[in-house]
Amino acid sequence: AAVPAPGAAESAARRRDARGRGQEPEMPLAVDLPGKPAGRNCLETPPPSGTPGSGACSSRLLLRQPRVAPTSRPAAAPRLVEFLLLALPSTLWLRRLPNVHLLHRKQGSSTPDMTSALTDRTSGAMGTYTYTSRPRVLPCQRRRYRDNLLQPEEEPMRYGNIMYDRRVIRGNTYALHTGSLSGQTDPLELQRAQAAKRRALARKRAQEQLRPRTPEPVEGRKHVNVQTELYLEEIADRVIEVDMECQTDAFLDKPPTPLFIPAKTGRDVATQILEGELFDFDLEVKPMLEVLVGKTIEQALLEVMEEEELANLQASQHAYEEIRNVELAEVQRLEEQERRHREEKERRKQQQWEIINKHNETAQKISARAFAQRYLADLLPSVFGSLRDSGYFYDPIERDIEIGFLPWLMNEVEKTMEYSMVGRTVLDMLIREVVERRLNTYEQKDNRYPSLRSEGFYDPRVMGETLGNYDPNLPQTQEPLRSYSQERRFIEEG
Amino acid sequence: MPLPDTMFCAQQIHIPPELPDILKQFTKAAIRTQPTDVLQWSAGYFSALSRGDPLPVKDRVEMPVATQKVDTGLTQGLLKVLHKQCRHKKYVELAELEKKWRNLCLPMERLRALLVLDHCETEIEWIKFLALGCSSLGGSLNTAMKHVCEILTQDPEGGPARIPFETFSFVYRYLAGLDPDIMEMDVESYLMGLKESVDSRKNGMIGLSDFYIPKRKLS
Repeated sequence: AAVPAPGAAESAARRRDARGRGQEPEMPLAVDLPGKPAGRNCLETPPPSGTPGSGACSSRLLLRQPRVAPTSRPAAAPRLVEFLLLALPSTLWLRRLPNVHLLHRKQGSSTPDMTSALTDRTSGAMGTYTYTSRPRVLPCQRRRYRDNLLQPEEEPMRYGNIMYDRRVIRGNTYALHTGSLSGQTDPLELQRAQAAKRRALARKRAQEQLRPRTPEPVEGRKHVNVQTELYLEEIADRVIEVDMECQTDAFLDKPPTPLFIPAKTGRDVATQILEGELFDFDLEVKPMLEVLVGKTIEQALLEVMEEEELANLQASQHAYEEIRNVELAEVQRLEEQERRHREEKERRKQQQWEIINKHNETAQKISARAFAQRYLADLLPSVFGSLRDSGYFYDPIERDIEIGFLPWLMNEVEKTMEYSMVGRTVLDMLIREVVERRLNTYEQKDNRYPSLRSEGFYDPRVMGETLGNYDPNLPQTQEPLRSYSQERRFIEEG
Repeated sequence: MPLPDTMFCAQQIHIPPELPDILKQFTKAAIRTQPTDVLQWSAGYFSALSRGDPLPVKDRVEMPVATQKVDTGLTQGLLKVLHKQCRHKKYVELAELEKKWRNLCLPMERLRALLVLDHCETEIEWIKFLALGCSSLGGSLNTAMKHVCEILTQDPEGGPARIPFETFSFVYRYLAGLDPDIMEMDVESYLMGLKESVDSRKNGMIGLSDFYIPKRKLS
């Protein structure tokens, strides 16, 4: 399936070329799509595969190559190729190897549309790219061999006819829908093609992910593409690279900007000037003088004003100070006066207070005295009376007599009376003794002389005593009574 | 090689470096003094400057309002200038005084009228002339004494303007002696009264505030 596809594409392209960019340019491409796997392989495989001239051979080569060295090839290469094809169809790679083949082939058989076929196919690989004026390989600049003189222009510049571009709508737009429908292929087939394309893409992506990548180069090395074809070919149109070195100076300071001198304009002429013709002192000195005088006057005026102002300030300050001094002195004087007045007032107040105090005191004293006098006027007689009553006022002689003499007298009297009492008592006892004795004797005599008793002396006391002799209690009670009465008798007599 | 005495452009004009300063000082002095005859005054100024004498320059700008009333042209400031120029001498020659007077652009008649009051031949005691000038400024004796104080004082302007009491009493006696209306007894009693108050302050200086009571300004 892969083999005929390029061929078909080729033939379609050729046919189209022959027709000079035919009426339906993109149809064959769309048909080509099912045969895409081969094309994809070709795209993925490195440069030399692009030999579109001999379709079978090349495709076989293409098919074989991935099988031969799938791992030896740098993983990045297919992607690089694809990228180049997609983005830069006219870059080095396309320019290089296919052209080498091309040139080789050209000697043999003239296939003028080979490159176009190649581009057709590459564009077919792109699928969506349908503009007829597609990117082309640049014509090789340096040719190794002389061109065949017979051969016409190597690559006629072909421009796409915009009138046949599919995106340009031609004719009546009312009929556009049906016209486009009729121009298209079977929608079912188209769908299938698209599905296949999607599938292929997905597969490619999966494969790409699964494939082991070449590890990153170690430090100081880098990956280089190597030819791995069966036959080693010289890479002819390599750009010669030469390393050039150039030492720049160290940074210098920016040189001073040269003075801008405008370009001289006009014409130089010369003339003779005599002395005194050009310079008039009076005239020339005028602006200077004006400046001098004006500046001087201005400055002088300013300075005078400033100094005047300062002097005025100073003068007013001095005047103020003077006034202030005077006022201070006045204030001091007034203060002193005030102080003196205050002191005077204080003194006078004090004096007045003292006087008032004294007055008060005197009045109080007087009133107190009057009151006391009045109070005591009543009190004195009663006090004296009561005192006199209570015996505080006495005659000392009388009192002495009362206290000293009378008790002594009483004592003496008592003593004397006691002596007399004792004497009496002794006398009584003597009497009693005598009486008793006499009684005894009488009794004894009575016993002898019984008559005597009745005629004897009658004495109550004797009787009493005699009676008392009978009663043991009686003498004791009778005795004090008798002494008492005797005493009384003494006192009354004395 | 350019010719030495040939001038080609304004840049060659040389200005003496001291010229601007002299010019400025002169201008300031002129502005300050406001002489009526600038030329006359300038001659006096520059001659004084060249001789190194005190310059006939007022210390302060004087508003010429006061002089217009009496129309003498003499002001306190001018008297002060004269005093500044003459104070180093006790006696001043009349010729010199005349010159100075003229340099200040004052009328000579005025000077003559002043000198008539004091009978002198060739020279006059400076303090007397000053007293005369002050009295001619107008006003009473007290005002004249105020001017005398303000001119003679060493105190800064606006200050108490104190002068020694001896000077004061001398000037006062002199001026009072010129006036026939003032009795000598009054002068002496007045001076005695002042002396007591001055002596109480011990330094023997008499100030404006001691004898001059300015009129209260209407506020």
